[in-house]
Amino acid sequence: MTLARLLSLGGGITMCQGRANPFRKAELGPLPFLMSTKPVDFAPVRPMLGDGAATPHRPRPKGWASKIEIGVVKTLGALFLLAVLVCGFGAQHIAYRREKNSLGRQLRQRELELRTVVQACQSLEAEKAVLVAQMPPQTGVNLAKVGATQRPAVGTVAQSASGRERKSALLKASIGVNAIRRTQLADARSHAHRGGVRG
Amino acid sequence: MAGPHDAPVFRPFQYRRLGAIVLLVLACLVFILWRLFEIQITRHQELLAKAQACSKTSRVLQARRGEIRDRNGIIVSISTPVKAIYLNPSLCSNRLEQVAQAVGALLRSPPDRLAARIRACLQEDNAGAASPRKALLVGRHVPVREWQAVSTALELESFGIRQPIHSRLEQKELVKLRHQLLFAREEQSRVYPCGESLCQVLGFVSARKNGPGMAGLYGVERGCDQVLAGKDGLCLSEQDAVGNELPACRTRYETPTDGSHVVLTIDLRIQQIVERALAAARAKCLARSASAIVLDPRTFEILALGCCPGFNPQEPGESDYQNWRNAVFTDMVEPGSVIKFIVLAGALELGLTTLDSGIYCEQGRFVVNNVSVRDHARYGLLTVQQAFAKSSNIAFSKLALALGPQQYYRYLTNFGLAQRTGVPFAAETPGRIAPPQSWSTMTLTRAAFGQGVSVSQLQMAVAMGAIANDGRLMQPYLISRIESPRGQVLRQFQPQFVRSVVSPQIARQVKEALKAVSAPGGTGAVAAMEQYTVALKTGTAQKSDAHGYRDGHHYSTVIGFIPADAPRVLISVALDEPQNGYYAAEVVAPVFRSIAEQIAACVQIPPDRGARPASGDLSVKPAPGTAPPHPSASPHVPAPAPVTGHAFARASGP
Repeated sequence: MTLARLLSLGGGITMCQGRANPFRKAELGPLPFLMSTKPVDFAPVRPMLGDGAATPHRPRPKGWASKIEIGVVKTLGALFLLAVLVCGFGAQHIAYRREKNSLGRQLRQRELELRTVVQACQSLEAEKAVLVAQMPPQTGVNLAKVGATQRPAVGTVAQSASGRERKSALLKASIGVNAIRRTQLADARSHAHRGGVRG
Repeated sequence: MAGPHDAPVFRPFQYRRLGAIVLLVLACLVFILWRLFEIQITRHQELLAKAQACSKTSRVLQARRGEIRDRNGIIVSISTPVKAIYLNPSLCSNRLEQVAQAVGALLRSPPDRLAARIRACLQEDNAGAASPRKALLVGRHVPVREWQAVSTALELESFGIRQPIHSRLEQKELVKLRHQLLFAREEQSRVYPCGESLCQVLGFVSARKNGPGMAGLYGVERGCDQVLAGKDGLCLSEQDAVGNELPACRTRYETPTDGSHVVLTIDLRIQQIVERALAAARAKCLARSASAIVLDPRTFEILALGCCPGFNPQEPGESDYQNWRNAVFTDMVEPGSVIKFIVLAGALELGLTTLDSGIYCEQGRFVVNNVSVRDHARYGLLTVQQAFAKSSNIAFSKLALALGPQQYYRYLTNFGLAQRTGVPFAAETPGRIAPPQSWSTMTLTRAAFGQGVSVSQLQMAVAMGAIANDGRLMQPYLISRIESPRGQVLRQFQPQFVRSVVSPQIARQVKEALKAVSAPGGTGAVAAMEQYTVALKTGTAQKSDAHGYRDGHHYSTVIGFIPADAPRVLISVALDEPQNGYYAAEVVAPVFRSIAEQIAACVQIPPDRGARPASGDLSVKPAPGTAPPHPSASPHVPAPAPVTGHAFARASGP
C-alpha cells in the first residue's frame, strides 16, 4: 500500500516527521497524486486472507428475539421518558393542589370568621329589636302621625312596670346575654336614635 | 452464496424463556384490563358512590328568614342564629359519669338525666344497632355566644382524668374528648320582640319537615312564607380524612338568598293600646274572649288587630290552640244590631224612607205573618234616625220588609258580606248568608237585626268603613310593602277600590244616623267623646248552637269611627260571652271610648269639636202603655214625616 493510498483515506492519517511532536499535524506539501494527471486507482482494499480469494462481507439478519429485545428496550425508554414527564407533572400538580388546599383552608378560616361576625351581628340585631319593642308606647307631641313612614322617637328612660316585667322575663329567656352589656347597648342605641329622629 | 453468518442462530432455551415472559406479561395485561373493566364499568356506580361518600360533602347554606316590621319600622319578628348542640356518645363509654357531669354543668342540664340518655344510647348500640349513633342532641336554640363559651370551657375540662397525664393513651383520650365530644349545627330561631303582642297576626313558625330552616305555620308567617323564607344555598365540595371541607375542591356553590322583609300596616303603638284595653275589658267583664280591629277608613289599612287571650308565639305549644286563632278573621258570628246600618243605607238609597220619616215601633212587639219581633224597650212613633239610635228591631224589621229579600241581600253582599275580604290569611272565613230565594218573612225580619247572617268581625268593620269612606268600599290590607334584605322596596301595596256601595249623599245620611247613636239617649252614648264626634253602632247578638239561641251567651260589639265627618280611624271592638252585663252599650262602648281616646291622642287626630254636648239629643223615654213623646221636644231631631211608600206601609201595617 502506497502512502498516497493511505493518505487518500482521509485526514485521519498524520505523518510523523523526524522527532517532531507526533500529536501535532504535520504540514503537508502538495501530494503527488493530487497533481497527477492520471487517475488514481481507488480499488477497494481487499484483505489478503487465505488464498487471496476474499469473500464479500454481508451483515447478519436480525432474529425476532433481537427485534423484541430492541422493541422492549425502546418501549422501556419511552416509558421512562413518560414516567419522568408524568412525575414532573405530578410533582407540579401536587404542589398546585397543596397550594390550592392551603388557600382553601385560609378561605375557610376567613369564611368561618366572617360567619361568626355575621352571626354576632344578627344576634345583636335581634337583641336590639327586643329592646326597641320594650320601649313604652309614645304618646303626645313626639309621635309620628299615622301614615308617616319615619321611625318613632324611642329612648325614653322611664319604663312602665309592665314593660320592666316583660323585659326581665325576656332577659331571662334569652340565655347568655350579659345584662350590663344590654343596658349599655340600650343607652347607646337610645342616644343614637334620638339624634337620628331629630336630625 | 450462503456463509456461516447467514443462517439464524437457533437457541431454543432463549425462545422458551422469552415465550414465558411474554405470556406472563400478557397475563398481567389481561388481568389489569379485566380489573379495569370491572372497576370502571361493572362496579362503576357502586364504587363511585363509595368514593363520593368518602370524599364528597354537601352542605345546605341556610337563608336567613326575613323580618316582619310594623309600619314605623319596628321589628316584630326576626330570626337569630342559634346552635343545636350534639354529643358523640361513642367517645364517652369509658367516662360516662364524668362526661355527663362536665357537659351537664356547661349546658345547665341535669347530669343524671344526661347520663341516663347517653347510657340508653350506648345500650342501643351494644344491642346491635346497624351503626353506632354518633350524635345525641343535648341542646337546642343555644345562642352563638353561649356555644362559644361552652367550646372554650370544654378546652379546659379534665373529664376526671388526673393531671399531670403520664399515659399517652389518656392524653389521646383527653384530646378527643375536648375536641370531638361536642359539636354544633347551625340553626335559626325566631324571636318575637313584642312577646304576645300581635301574636295572632304574626302566627308562628316551626322547623321545616323536609329540610333545614323554618316554615310558617300560622298568621303572616304562614301567609307570607314564600316571601320570608328566601332560598337556601348549596355547597358541594370534598372533605379530608378528618371530615374538614376542602374549599378548594368545591364543585358547586350557590349563595343563599335571604328572605325579604314584610312591612305590615300595623302601628305597634295603636296595637298596644288596643291590646291593653282588651285585656282590661276581658278581665272586667269576665268575657270568654275579646277582639278588636282598627282601620284607617281612608285607605282601609289595618292599623291594629288584637285578640285576647293571646299566646307566646315562641312557645305556641304552651297555650291552648284556640288562642292561636285570629277571631277577627276566622270566626263567623251573628253581628246583631250592628247590621242595621246596611238596612238603613239600602232603605235610604232606594228612597223607601228618610231619616226624618216616622216609624211606629209597635210598643215593643210586632207580629207579621205569624212572626213576632220584639224590642228591648217599648217604643211608639220614632223617626228613623231615633229608631236607629235606639236600635229598634221592629223599626228595622219593617225597613227590611220594605226592602225585600232580594234588595236586602244585594246590599249585604255589596257591602262585602258573605265573601272574603282578600287579606292574605289562609283561614279567613267568607261568612255565610243564605240565598234570598230561601228567605221567609222570619228570615228577613231577623236578618234586619243580624240574626241568621254569619259574618266575620273584619267584614263588618269593612262594611262600616265603606260608610265612613263616603260609600266607597275598599279592600282592607295588612301588608304595606315587601322589602329586600338591603332595604329596596320590592312591592308596595296600595289601597284598592272595590266598588261604590251607596252614593256619598246616602253615606253622609247614614253617618248622621251613626252620630245620633253616640248622642245622649242613643245606645252608644257612653262612647261619646268630648273633643270628637263619634259615629258608631252597637250590637248585642245572642249566640246560638244546634239547639237554637242560648240564654246568657252573647256577642257584644261596637263599630264606629272618629271624627264622624272626616274619619281617621275606624274601631271595631267585640266581647264574646261577657258575664258582668252583656249589652254592648254597657260593656263594649266604654272600651271603644277608651281605645278611641288613646288612639286620638297617640296619632294626634285634630279635634272636631270642643266640650260641647253631642249633637242630636235623642233622650226619648220609652213609656210603656203611653204614647211616645213628640219628637219635636228634641231640639235637634225633626218631627217624623208621614209614612210613605207601598212596601213600608205594608210592613208597618197590621
